Amino acid sequence: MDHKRQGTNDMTLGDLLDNCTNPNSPVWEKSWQEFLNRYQNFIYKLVLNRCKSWNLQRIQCQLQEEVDDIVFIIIRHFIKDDYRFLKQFQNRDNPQLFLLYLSTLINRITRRHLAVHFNKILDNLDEDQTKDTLKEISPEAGWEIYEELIQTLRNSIINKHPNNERNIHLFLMYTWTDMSIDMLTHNDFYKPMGQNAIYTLINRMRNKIKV
Amino acid sequence: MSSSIIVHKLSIGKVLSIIQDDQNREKNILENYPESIHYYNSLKARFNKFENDPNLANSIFNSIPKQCCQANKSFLKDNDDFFIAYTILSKKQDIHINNAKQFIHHLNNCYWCFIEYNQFINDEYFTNKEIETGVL
Repeated sequence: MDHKRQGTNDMTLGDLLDNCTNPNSPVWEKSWQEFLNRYQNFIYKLVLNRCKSWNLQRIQCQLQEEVDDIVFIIIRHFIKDDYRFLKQFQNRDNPQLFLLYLSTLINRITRRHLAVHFNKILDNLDEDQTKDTLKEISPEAGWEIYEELIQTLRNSIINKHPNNERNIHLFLMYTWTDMSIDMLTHNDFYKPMGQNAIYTLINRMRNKIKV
Repeated sequence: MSSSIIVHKLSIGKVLSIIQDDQNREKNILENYPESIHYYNSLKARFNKFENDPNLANSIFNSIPKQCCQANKSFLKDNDDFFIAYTILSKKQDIHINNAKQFIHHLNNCYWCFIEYNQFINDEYFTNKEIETGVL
């Protein structure tokens, strides 16, 4: 048993990935233990730091649960589609590059998870609470949520129309900050739209997100 | 009893709002901002220059990039000329929400400029309200 443990400890990254991605390997289970020994802490720390960087009070309250959930999703991703993620890594003699490869996945999954979680929080809040919640978050998290929201809005619009970007902009001006429709139409730039048109448009955009 | 003077600094949104005040109360207002008088005068001179040269205002407004800026180097951060051009052109309705496509596209792509722009609109709006109600 000690001998086998010694065997997985010494395994090169290439061998480790080969064994982890082949369930018929006699050391498949041991290889996964070794994989987790080597990388679990790295994954945990990165997810934890990313979650903390969002500075979102509702996430900080249940930080450990959030981190556990995200780490589980990441590990599940390693197995998904016949270990595609691990098999796709090419520079098998370069452990440092593998850490970088892992960190891109970790960042992507953590970001997506937090954004979805954040959107769920926002769904249950009224407009004032939404604006207060947006004030809590760090600028970096704000940037990520903003980009995620823009993407969601762009994806939700099926028909390409020249005014789509304008509509998204108006929706964000209204929801992201303390801007009221009166404030918008007070500015010469927004005057041609008129209050009623802006109000209707914002409601339409809000329904698109909820769907 | 000692009296204390509260020193405020003017933002670009505030300055442009004061410059456009119809009732010409700038002297009274500027008494509250002794540290910003030089800044105000320099912006006012540029405002007048851009107003007399629409091509210059147009070319500054159209210089907005399409893609996202870097966090600490956003295009709109401290870009007073852009906001002057924006104010002049939107007042004349040369630019508005329905035709400034590149500008809108940039704001949607660039969180950092969006935040700067929001701050500007906020400052301008509340300064206008303060002038209207005589608070300033």
